[in-house]
Amino acid sequence: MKNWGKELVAWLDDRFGLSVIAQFLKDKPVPQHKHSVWYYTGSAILVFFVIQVVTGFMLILYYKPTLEEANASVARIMTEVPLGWIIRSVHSWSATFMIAFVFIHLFSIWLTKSYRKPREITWMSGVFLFACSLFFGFTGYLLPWDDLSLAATKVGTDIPRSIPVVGAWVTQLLRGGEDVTGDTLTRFFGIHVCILPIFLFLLLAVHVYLIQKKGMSLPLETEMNGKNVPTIPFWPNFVYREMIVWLVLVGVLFSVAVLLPPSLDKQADLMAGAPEGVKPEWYFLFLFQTLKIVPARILFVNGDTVAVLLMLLAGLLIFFLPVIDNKPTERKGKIITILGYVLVIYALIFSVWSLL
Amino acid sequence: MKMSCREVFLLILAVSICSSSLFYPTLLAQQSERSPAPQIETEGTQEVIEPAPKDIKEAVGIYVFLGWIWISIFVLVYILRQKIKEADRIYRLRFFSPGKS
Repeated sequence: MKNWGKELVAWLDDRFGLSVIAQFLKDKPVPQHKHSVWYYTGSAILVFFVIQVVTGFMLILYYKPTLEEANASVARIMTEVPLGWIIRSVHSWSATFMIAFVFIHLFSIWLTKSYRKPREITWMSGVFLFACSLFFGFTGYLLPWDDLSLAATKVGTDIPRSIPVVGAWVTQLLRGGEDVTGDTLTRFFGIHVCILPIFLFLLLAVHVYLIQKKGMSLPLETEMNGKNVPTIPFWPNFVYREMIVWLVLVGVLFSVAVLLPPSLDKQADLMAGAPEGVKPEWYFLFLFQTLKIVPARILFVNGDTVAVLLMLLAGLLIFFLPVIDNKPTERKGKIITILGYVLVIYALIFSVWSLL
Repeated sequence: MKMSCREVFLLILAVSICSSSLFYPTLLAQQSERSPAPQIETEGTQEVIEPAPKDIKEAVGIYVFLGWIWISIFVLVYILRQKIKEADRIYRLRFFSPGKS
């Protein structure tokens, strides 16, 4: 049996060159310092993503993306399909966990300045992945087609309308018409299960390749100390450590999914008014609250337009952060780090405020 | 009596096979109850659906499964910690340092 296994590995190695990859992973050093804990967030995101793909495949077998059947098919998944409510719960909670870890990963890279030369493209591909994850969440939120998801999607797809020139077109493109209808549902389903996964896999391939090519970055603070940082090999020392993190996270995910499964609201009614307390998913709350407090007019311009343009500008600045922060040790670099902390505090305060 | 990692792994596997038998009767019973397959309703739900186990058997099965997951995690974490110690020891002895093959 053992020889058979070895022969199979040798056969595969002969064709795919696996030993080269194995040797690369054994030789890849992982620095050990007080910020090493952030290295685990990247693979945690990947674990949740894989869980989402697997549970998504299961849900797609029963889900029907039409106006008449969407809500009923989700109800069927929850009440008739064996263990369907757990599969839906795991899918929903793994999305929440994944996006939470995406936020943590992004800010850990920002605050340790790990995006600096030569890792600019790694950061930029990561920002695209972040946007993809948020769009995944946004499109997935509508799919149960209940009152709350319809109202939140109406609000969400109306936001781009404030952008001058192209805004109305973007809203129409997202909705598949003037208003949110069954066409929007079908469109969101297509984006959720086909277009976004293609983009995400391509970006992920680039991101992971660049991480392997450039290696793990040292935090600026550690690098400036000038001391030799101890390292461990990626395989097997670091991977074993990562596996402990994955196991615990999967345990927590399953426990939360069993104990706190998401409910399903009644079928959305296109003719009904918006229900009270319409809120987007938690990761959009701070943006939602920002738009809520912006005055209707700022000088002579529509308040929403100013707010949306500022958000787009912030997104662009984050994307080009490694280019802007080209001298991380100087005053500008320190201000950018402080801005990172300010952004975290702002997002937390506004999210909590939105819930009150 | 000290068990090797492989023995512990086989033990977990055996327990998992036994515990899976808790589920299969439930699933089979549900599938037989559902045949012939019901027609899908064309109208959605008119009230909030709170997800929950269908019967006491499924509820017990799920909580046993959850307990088994956590026991397996604790055992696997213990095995991995031993593996880490060993891998670090070998690395410190420079059998396995980066740059050397």
